[in-house]
Amino acid sequence: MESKKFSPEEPDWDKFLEQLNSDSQLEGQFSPVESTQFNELKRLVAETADALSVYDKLDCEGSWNTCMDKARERNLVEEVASNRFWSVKLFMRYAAAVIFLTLTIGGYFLIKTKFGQVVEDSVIAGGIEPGGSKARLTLSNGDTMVLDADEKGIRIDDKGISYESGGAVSSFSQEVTYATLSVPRAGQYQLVLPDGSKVWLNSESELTYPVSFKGTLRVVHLKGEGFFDVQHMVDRPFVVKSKGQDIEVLGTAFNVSAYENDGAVTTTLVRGRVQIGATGVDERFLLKPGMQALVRNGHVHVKTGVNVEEYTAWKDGVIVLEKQNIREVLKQIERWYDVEFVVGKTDLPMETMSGEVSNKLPIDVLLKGIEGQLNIKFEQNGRRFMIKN
Amino acid sequence: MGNEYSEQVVDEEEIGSLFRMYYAVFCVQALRVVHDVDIAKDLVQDFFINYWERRKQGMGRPEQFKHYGMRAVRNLGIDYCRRLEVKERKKEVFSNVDPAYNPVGEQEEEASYYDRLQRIFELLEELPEGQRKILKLHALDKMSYLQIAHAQGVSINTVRTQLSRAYSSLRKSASGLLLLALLTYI
Repeated sequence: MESKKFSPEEPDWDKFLEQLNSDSQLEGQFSPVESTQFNELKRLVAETADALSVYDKLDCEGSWNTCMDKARERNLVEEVASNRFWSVKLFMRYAAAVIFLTLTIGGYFLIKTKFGQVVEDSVIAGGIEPGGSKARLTLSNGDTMVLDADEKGIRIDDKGISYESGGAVSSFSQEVTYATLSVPRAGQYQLVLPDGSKVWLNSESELTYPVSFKGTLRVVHLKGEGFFDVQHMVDRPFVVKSKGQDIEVLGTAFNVSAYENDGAVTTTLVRGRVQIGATGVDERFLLKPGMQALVRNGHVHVKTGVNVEEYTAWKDGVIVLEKQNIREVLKQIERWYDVEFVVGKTDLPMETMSGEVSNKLPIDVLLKGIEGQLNIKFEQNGRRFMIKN
Repeated sequence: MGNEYSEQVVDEEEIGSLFRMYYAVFCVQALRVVHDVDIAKDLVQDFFINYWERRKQGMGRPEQFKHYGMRAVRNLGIDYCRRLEVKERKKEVFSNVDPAYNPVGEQEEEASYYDRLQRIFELLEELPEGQRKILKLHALDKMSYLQIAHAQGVSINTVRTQLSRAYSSLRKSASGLLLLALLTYI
């Protein structure tokens, strides 16, 4: 009785491989199972040969350059001058980075040592403090609990939920199948999933996940921003579903930013490989380290050579000012300090900022630094800041 | 969903990302028809240029770029062979093939071929240079273990272990998705 399940059983590689390139007549002696495996292997070898026949000669970037030349000949490319523009801009950004870092850090220590007490007081008076560890956990049986702000993260396993430090949060009853970790504005929290994968959740974000992974896929749902360090499991892909896109990975580290009020979902790959696609569209893109995918209206754009640090530094308590757009930085500050910027009719400067600062910095020090760099003024009114030229 | 894209702006960035994703397998696809790597690369570039041009002229995004590209690249190859009027025998074969004719079954076969090749390329990239070389001697140059051992100056045992390891991971990766689909189904 053959009750054998479909299992990825290892063929006898040695026997098959040697047979393949020799003249011996072993093939006639294969059992039916072996014959199937041997044919499968033959196809695999043939396809590997297909790939290897071009592999060394591909030169993707060179070929793309040739393709771009052809495109220019046919007037398909609009801005020819853009390259030069960017390199100057890039240089300016790095120059500015150095200056800004010196100013901000220098400035902060100056203020701290000379008027330290004054600054602290004014911050508290303003009622605005940097964010910290904050999160709420909701279980599928309806239980909900506010997590300890002195802890950095929680861990889930079959025994229940505990803090990273070991303290118990909750044990499971039968009816708990899913849990949702919600992080409010001005919060961040860490989570270790039942398979050992780690997730860092940024402010205003939410992760829904099963308390134990069953079946062949490990599926979680993300709103907002999260950094994932996924435990490698060859036969159980890990899938992150978020606004308008699905990401499928085996084992890797990447950042996903999928805020409701942002137009695009941004996925940045640090390590490994991920496959990404817009929800409901068959097309899949493969990201390699340093690549970033922007998904907007079911439309995938892939960028290469991204400075990954810029997009993942938040999990290490760093605010990176080096973004394409001041608006991006402001959004990040809004979420972390739970404040609001009102742009009004002000023209936000087009030039980019540079440098990075600790997210423990008092907000007024941070804003002073930005004011200095961009020639704008912040006018505070409670938690709202008007931006003036 | 596929036809709802309102924005029809197509730019260097979009074409570039498609190019980087699909280039390798498309080259193989072209090579299968034209049997010359440089011509194959050239045809793949032409495919992207055509696509770019057509998109600019208002053509929508194809529902499945993979299908679209695999078919178009193959057709470019066939056209190329026709133009050159290569060997008589080939000409005969190709004159029987209508480039536009593409039954569903063949389309699916092409798509799954694409997926498998894509995965093989990914794995090749992860293999150390030496192992890739051994794999090449075996798969492409059809050498026996002994010949490979001589050519590379390693022991037969090294050839044996490295080859079975390489194929084992190629197989796992190439059949991974299929396996999953089957397991879920059962």
